[in-house]
Amino acid sequence: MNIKGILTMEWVQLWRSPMRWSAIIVYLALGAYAVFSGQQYVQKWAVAIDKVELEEKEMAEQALSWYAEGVKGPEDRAWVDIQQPLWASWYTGSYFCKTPAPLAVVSLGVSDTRSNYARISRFSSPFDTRNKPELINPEQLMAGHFDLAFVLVFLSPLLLLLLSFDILGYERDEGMLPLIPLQAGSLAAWAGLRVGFQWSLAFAATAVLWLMAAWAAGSWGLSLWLGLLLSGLYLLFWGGLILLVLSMRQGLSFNALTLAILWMVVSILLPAAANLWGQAQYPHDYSTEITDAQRADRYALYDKEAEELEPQLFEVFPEARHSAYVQDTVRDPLIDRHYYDVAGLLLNEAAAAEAVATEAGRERLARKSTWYNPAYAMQMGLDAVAGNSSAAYLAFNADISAAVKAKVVQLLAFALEKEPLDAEKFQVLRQTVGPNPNYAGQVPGRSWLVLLLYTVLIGGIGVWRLRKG
Amino acid sequence: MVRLILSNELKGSLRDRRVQLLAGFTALLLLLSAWSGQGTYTHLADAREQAAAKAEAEWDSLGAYNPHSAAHFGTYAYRPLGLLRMLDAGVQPFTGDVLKVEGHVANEALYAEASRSSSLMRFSAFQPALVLQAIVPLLLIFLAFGSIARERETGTLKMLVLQGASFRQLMAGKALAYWIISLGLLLVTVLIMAILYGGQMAWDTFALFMLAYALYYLLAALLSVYVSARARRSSSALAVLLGGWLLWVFILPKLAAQLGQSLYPLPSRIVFEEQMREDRKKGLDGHNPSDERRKALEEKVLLEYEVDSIEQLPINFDGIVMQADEEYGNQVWDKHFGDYYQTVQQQNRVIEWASALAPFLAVRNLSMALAGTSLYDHLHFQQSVEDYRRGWVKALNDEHAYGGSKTGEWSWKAEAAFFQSMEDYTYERPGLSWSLANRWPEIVVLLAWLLVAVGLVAFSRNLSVLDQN
Repeated sequence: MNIKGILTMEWVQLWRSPMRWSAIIVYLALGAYAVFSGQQYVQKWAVAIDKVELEEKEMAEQALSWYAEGVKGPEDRAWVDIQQPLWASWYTGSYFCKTPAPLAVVSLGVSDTRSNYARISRFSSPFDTRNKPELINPEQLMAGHFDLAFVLVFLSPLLLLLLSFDILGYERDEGMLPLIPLQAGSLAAWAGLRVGFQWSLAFAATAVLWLMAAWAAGSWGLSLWLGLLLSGLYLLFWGGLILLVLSMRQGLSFNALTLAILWMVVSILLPAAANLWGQAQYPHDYSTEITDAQRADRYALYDKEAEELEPQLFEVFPEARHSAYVQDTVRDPLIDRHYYDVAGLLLNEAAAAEAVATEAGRERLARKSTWYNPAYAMQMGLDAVAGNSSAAYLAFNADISAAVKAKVVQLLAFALEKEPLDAEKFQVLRQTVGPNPNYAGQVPGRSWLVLLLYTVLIGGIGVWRLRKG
Repeated sequence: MVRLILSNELKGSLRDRRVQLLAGFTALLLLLSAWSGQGTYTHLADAREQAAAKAEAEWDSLGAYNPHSAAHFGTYAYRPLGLLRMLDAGVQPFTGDVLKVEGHVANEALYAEASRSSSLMRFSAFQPALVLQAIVPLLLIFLAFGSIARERETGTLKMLVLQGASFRQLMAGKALAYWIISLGLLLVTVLIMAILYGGQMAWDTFALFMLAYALYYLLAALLSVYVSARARRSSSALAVLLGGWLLWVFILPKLAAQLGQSLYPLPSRIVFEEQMREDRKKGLDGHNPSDERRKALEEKVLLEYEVDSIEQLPINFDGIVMQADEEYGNQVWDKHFGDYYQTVQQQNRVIEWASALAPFLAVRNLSMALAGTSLYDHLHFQQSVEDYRRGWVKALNDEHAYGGSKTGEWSWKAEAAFFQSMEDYTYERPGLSWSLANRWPEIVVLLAWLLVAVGLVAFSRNLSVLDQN
């Protein structure tokens, strides 16, 4: 087989085809715009986090200056007493943030529907109504962001289909198909080489987009190369599908039609069907468990005496049993308030557990869907690299819960000591909210496995059918 | 002659097994999506009813309570679901349709479906609107791409013209035949809705909903036949039509939304909320800070009651202060949310302009408007809740001020009957003319496109298509 001859012919065909060049240029232009818009989004996100962190730092520094000066608070607010845990809480550790991952520009995932910073107060929960997503036009949310993930998941296969759809079909329409095995030796090798050539073009264009994204993000780590590899594998999967269609030895129109239908099925219908299955298993509700925990059930707590809440107190902070305050009969309303906080925390945790179980169930179903949903396998990989997957936000929610709990328990511990809270303890309180993570991960093994499996299976059948003659 | 061509084409198409398969598949998708839409609708409607009833019951069972505490306890406003939501959910999964009504703050909608979904939400939802807007036009393309081009390729075009069919009649007859097939799919939708909700349906709205789609399909059929007539080969016609479909349905909507966001960016939430806080504290535009406002109000009230101090007042001054602060807060809210809505509308204007390039956008927006699931419907609901909230908070503050307590009596309680006498929130959806008035650009665009398509077919007699073979 004249490999060089076939590749030269492909190159000449490409060189003389304005349609192909235009497709590559449009693909690159759309990808560049996607990187730009992703970068704009991430910059806005980073600026918001900086502002949140600065606000927190300024409040803490102000409080520390009062400790240094030996005053209890601002002059115009006589009621503030920074030596009381309740007031110290007001000035410390107010936020826990999810920072953008180094490659966040690649896929914005679900970041636009979630809050990226959460208030950590005595009453907080991951589902606190004050934790709102960024202001955004809902019509844009519905249309979805024009990010690089969209280009890679939806448009890169289209580019490959557009470059390859006339392979074999044209020859069949012109009655030249029987000549190919005679000239090239093997129809499978001839078609495989030609599809491979187009794959390398699509992959090269995709690589340019990844490099643009890396340059925009200033991130050249392993994730970049694994992401690029995943894109190559995804294109290979589409190459396999193309070979399968070509193996039917039909004309141009049939091939174009079948490939368009396949694109629609893989990119739209299968994910939509997975969505449908998820909705049926875990239907949307009005989150009444959360509203109850934050309103009716919480207010019902206030009708109780603080002593009635001791079981909750000991559950969260067993050391409290041995504290002098618990054993004493004299009540201090300021300390009792922590009893209500702890009981409220347990209410929030129970409600959040229910909500998280539903979300985790949706996430599990979505992951399972990758077995019949290769486009989602690709999207899931990109979201993981970008740190913007729903799984990342589930982890963020778990960390918010942990931070709230740590803060409430620490406040209780300080309150039970019945000693003025000093600067050192204030710093301990600050540290109950840990550093801000970005939740970036690597491409999940399932994404690799599913795409590899389908590529080998579908491409293998295609090649086998082409070789069969 | 047109009738004859139409009848022949219709018979031929309906006998074609490929057409039967594709149309049957599309009808199946429509049925499946309607089934899932109905399931989602029924579940949501039940959940909404239960949640709303629960919120009302909790409010009514408050008992004797301090009015200000009741304002913090708050209540919830739930948006009723329109029947057509089952066909087109529009922006609702991204906006949420429950708002907490409470004192001091005008909340945004809570618990949007998207905010707790997996990353699968980024893909299209499996709903009838997806089938009606994206897949039926694709079916029309499959039916029509070879309609004229294939007649030319096989040489039957000349024979048809020689038999007396004008080229215009040929195109019109074929386009109408395909259109009738697509109307059959619309009929499936009508039947589903009639069987499920015949008695409850607003048939005038539904008729317009169907009319919008019928016009859209006529446009798709005319353009597809026209492209087929202009193309040298059926495969070229298919490539152009598929490219156009992708551009209209998938690329331009995303691009337009993204462009709107880039041209008219929204502020980040933290900046937005900080500005609102500042304006409330320091006064709009830095004038009339809250302390001064309070002082002026105190002087006014003391003068009105002809007393020298707040303690001498026969009423509770705290209630008056809270209401004054609420009213000032309302002005701040009106200013900032007014700006926000204006920016969102500017962004949407970009989408409206883009619909001139992609009539898919026009029909999508019209569909949402008629289904009551558009952004404008969401904003209308939000405004209606805010109007209710203002009256609700005023009633509570007035009770606090004039209900029988004195200034500083924060533990004073109003009678249970007072809370029970407060009206529950009810939402009245705006009428059909309101929905249409908001979407007049889309109506104009759709009609203009249709006019152009009819014109293209009507003037096709001048094309020297017969010579192209």
